[in-house]
Amino acid sequence: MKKYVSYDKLLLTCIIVLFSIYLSITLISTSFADYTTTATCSHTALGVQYSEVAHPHKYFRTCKSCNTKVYVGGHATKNHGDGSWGSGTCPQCGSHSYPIPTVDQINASLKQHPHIVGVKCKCGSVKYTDPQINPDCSSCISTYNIKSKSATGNSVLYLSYLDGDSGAAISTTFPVPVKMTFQSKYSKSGSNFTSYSSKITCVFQSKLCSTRSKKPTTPFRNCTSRLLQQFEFKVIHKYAICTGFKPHACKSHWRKIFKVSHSKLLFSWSNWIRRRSYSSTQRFRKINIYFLRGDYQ
Amino acid sequence: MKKKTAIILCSVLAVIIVCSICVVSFGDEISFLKSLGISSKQSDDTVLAEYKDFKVTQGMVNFQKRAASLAGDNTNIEASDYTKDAIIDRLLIGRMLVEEAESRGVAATKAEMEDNLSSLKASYNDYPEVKKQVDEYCSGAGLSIDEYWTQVYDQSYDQISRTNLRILLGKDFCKETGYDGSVDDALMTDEFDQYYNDHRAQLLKEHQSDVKYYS
Repeated sequence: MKKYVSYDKLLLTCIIVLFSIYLSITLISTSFADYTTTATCSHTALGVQYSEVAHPHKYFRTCKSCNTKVYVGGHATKNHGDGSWGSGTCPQCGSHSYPIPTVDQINASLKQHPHIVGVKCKCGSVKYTDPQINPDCSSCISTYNIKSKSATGNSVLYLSYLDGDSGAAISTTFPVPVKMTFQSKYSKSGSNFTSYSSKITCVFQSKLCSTRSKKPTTPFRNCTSRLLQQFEFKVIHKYAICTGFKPHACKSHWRKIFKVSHSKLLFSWSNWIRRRSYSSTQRFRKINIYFLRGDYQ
Repeated sequence: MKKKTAIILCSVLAVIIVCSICVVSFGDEISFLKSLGISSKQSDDTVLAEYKDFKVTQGMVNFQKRAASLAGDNTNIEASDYTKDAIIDRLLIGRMLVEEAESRGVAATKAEMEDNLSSLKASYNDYPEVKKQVDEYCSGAGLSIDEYWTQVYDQSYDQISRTNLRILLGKDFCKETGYDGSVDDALMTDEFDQYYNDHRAQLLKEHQSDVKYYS
């Protein structure tokens, strides 16, 4: 006996199934509204497009008839920032950008161990720089095993001059004792050598001359840096005049004259350098002395 | 045998070349001062310019040119400083500066000249290197040491006078610019160099009518 399902029952079942599906979809839509916002309506009169305040700032239009918020696809990208009202920025859009620490910030950080600087992104996020090593800080000295070394050297420079303003010029020569000192703070671990600070001074010990260091200190960060130092040297020998020769011309002029004497200023730290296992090419540091001009007095 | 001889000859030649290079490389200073001395002997009295009773001769110009060329294997040397005209003007200005020093009452005194000479003599006696350099110059110039000191003494009048004037100008500079450091410090500044060079240029301009050029 064949048993037939009535048309009404079939229709009812279909309605129930469809209604269940509708309910499920509605429920899912409600639950994930924040994420999908796929609400739609059958009306055609939609308002102006706007982007949602919350990231990712999806584009919506509001139905003028039923007030339904309709996602119309895509999203806005705002400038990176703190997201404050009216700023047009969002902390999640774009990427962080941290400024380079200022000299004042770095100097301030050197006063307190650990020597770090907090730099702030426009969005308010703070990043801390890698700790700086302050060779004068007792905590750093013990942490990084920083040592000090100094060396001194003396030499005599022989300065000749010509009077450029005089037709009957005659070469005269006088001695200039020079004292050079070198100070360095460094650490050494195995084959790694790091110099944290270095200072070279060059003093002309003569009343006849005066010097000013063009760059009084030359900090260098590793042992391969060249320790070339330029010193400007002015003759204030009371009766030495070489006016007329321009400064730069005089400079090379005198340097040429003292080529041999100049080489005596090779400053050797071979003793301590040897102990530190430097390569032979680094045993000598030549101090460059620029004779500015044998110009006046 | 021939091969061995060739090797020995080549070695000897190489040693000679190396020695020559060393002599040339390390002998610059000596040869410079000696050359300078030799140059100072070469005189040419042809007058190129005249300012009152002061005459600029071809010999003076040649000497400065020679000094510059001896020192001038460097790109820093400006050729314009060593042209004939530049040297003539420089020497004329040198004379004008001495005159100005005299008119402003800061010309060299005998005591200053003697003090300068004794200071240089002391260095000559106390430092062998100074003696070596001075002797080198004298041998080139064909001067005895006494003749050398006499020339140094004579030359010092102009030098000291110009130096004293320069110090005076340094004081003027401090007053005019309100420089708050010492005069000694002011003399070290590039600003004063400019001031001094401007003064020199102005001096030549002012006395232009008294200058006669013959070249």
